[in-house]
Amino acid sequence: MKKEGIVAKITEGLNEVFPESESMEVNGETLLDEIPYWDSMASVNLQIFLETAFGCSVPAQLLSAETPIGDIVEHIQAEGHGAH
Amino acid sequence: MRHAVISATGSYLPTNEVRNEDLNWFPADALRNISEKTGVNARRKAAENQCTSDLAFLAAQKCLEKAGYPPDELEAIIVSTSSPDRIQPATAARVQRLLGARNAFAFDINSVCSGSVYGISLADSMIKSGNHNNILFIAAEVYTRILNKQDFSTLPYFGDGAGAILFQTGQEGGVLHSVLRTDGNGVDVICVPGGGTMMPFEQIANPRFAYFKMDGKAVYAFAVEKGAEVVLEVLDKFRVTPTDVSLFVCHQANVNILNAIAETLGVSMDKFFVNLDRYGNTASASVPIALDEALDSGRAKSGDLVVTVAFGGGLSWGANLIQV
Repeated sequence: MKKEGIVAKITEGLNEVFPESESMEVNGETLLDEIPYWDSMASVNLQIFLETAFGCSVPAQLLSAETPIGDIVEHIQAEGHGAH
Repeated sequence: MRHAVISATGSYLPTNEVRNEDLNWFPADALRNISEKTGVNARRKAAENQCTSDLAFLAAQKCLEKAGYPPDELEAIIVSTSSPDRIQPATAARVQRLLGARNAFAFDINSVCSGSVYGISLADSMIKSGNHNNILFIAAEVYTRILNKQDFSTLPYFGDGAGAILFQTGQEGGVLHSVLRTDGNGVDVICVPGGGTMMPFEQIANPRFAYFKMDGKAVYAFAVEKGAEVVLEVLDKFRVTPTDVSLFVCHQANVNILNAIAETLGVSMDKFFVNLDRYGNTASASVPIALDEALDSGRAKSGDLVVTVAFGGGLSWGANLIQV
């Protein structure tokens, strides 16, 4: 799966887990902290979505407030799980 | 002058304890962090056949038993809840029936987690009005029924429980002063978006809108700032300082919020009653439950100055200065 496809799938997950993010434009530079209702407890909801959607392990440390979506995309690609 | 004094308190916590490790559908590393991030180690969950009025009744029954007070002499029952039995009628009506308090009128209030301090202030005003000689105030919540079991941002925090306070007319002490505040600009910070008239059930597009949600970061900043501020405001009326207070009974939201408020007030955490490690956040019930435990355990003694303080949805917040 290409970078754009992974971002699109992450955006889908954000809309599901954080419904208030629906009108938000998400790209590789979007910081997790910009997501409405984001905090360290809520990050676990995204972690669960990513692990289920991409079939890879996502370390909690990667999901800090300062993390850009692009870093998550790179992690998923590096794990080789974004390819299917 | 008439004073609203506390004759007795009572509380009820369901027997079913849910520990952090029991929430095992979440990642194990996340479960290990709950205690550090919230202070919660366990919470109670109401039995399937228990609803909010059942918990309220059991807390009220204990309170009235302690006071040796017959239910049919009650003049009014106020129930604070943001997780009512039904949208209508008032949860308090079923509590009145369960208690057999046939002479009491009964109604609900909902200021979410601040409901306790609002209810205490309301009971105080009703007694001071001269129209009533006793008020049974109960706060009861069954949040486990309004939480999304897949939402880690809310589920680990909350538990079910109820607390009750019997106020009677006295000549001195009791509720000395209350300060209540609301900022409606924060109406979306803590809410259950769907199921009311703003978003009826048939218009709920995302299932998550059917459950309780909160903006954790905004709540933390609000609670720390307003919690400390309103304590100082309620104390100022009587020219007392935080160090003069024997015990702070604060809404059991998050231990880090309690630590921050204590630090701002310049008092030790030893002056703060904490039971959220065992019960989690029981919303408006947390203050009456904590007050009951504080009085029963001797942490607060007759004549002591106690401050109750709470903050929650609305946004709403407030504090009461009480001589117990």
